Amino acid sequence: MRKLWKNRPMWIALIAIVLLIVLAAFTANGRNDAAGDGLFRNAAAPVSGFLHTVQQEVGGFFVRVFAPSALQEENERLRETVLEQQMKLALLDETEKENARLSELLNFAQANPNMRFVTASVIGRDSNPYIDTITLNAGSRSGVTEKMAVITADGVVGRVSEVGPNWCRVKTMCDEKMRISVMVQRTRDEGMLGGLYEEGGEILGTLLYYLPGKADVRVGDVIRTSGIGGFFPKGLYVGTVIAVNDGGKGTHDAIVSMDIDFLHLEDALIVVGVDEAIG
Amino acid sequence: MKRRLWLIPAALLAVFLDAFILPFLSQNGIRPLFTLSLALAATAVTKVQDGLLIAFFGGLLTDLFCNPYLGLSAAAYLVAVAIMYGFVRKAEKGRALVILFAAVASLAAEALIFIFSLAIGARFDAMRLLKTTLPSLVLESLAVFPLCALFRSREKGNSFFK
Repeated sequence: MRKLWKNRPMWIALIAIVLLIVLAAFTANGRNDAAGDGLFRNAAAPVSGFLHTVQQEVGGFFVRVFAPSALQEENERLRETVLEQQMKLALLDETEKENARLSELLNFAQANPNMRFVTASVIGRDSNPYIDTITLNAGSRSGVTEKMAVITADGVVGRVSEVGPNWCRVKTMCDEKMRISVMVQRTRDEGMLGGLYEEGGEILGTLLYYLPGKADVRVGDVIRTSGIGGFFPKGLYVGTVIAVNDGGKGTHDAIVSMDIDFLHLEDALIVVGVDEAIG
Repeated sequence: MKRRLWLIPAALLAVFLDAFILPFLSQNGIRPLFTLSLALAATAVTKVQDGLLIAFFGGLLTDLFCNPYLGLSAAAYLVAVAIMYGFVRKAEKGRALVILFAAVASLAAEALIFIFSLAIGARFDAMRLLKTTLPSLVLESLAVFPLCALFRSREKGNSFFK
């Protein structure tokens, strides 16, 4: 042991160890606290940054050359992560849209406390471009029966024509044979709404006819259900008059534009009951 | 002098591996320090001065490139070389023992790094010690044996590794 301590390289090593530990402690302070605000840290910072960059670049090059599989795996993993995130994002977007639609329906339902509704989603559509029939995911188990009114916050959709245990088919306002009794909100004149009005192959709206000869119908008038016939509760919004045709035989015809986009309809309310006392 | 010349590229290669390659290839943080293994092998086979020089400059270079505390690795490597030298001096022959000696020396180096880390406020992480430090230490120790064999094929210096 004595020989060891007499060994000059060992003494030099010992001194070097002490000095190096001091140096390490100094650089540690330089990184962590105010003492490091001194000259050393400032001078070392760009060098340190450069060395780090060199290390990353050189190391990355050799990994790319000698271990491409690791990079491929990482690439694959990242790709999967991106796909997963994209799917989550799409799902979130879809959920937000659904939330907005249902909120709109809920607001409508709350604004009409005299009616009882069943909310349903569209699960089927006719291939007919006019979309005269849609299928909803609510049926007799939810209390749905034939001829019940189907509406949205944007207006009347149609009437239930067929009911299954958990589905129902709805004849929409686009159906040629669909007729509902309506009234002009401003004048209270009643008429019959039904049948599509086309011009040059383009559907402009539905026809409003059987209006009294003295009826003062104007463009922009709001059309609501009259309640006659009992199928549709009174006062439901249907659409707006976009054109008036004076037939000259004591009656008026008008074209009513509906706000509902039947091609993109996704959710609807089925009116399963009306409390007349409140209404 | 001629002997030290071929040690320089070997040491640079070890630093290169430690600083540039292994950080990217290590699995779960397990990463042997080839510079330390080389310094220990040089101590066992050639002369202690070689081991000290490799430990000092190799450690400093490694610190410069990839360690936050400049000089810590160099100090730890020097401690390991000193301990290895102490063992080698006492044992006359020890081809098989070299791994055990290297393990103890590496442990001392790791202990120094560990104590230093605690002293500057690092959190004691027993799991990390078991999962990364000790496996790395085993690999370092095992790497010493083939390096000794390689050195032995070139050198006739120290009689320990025969």
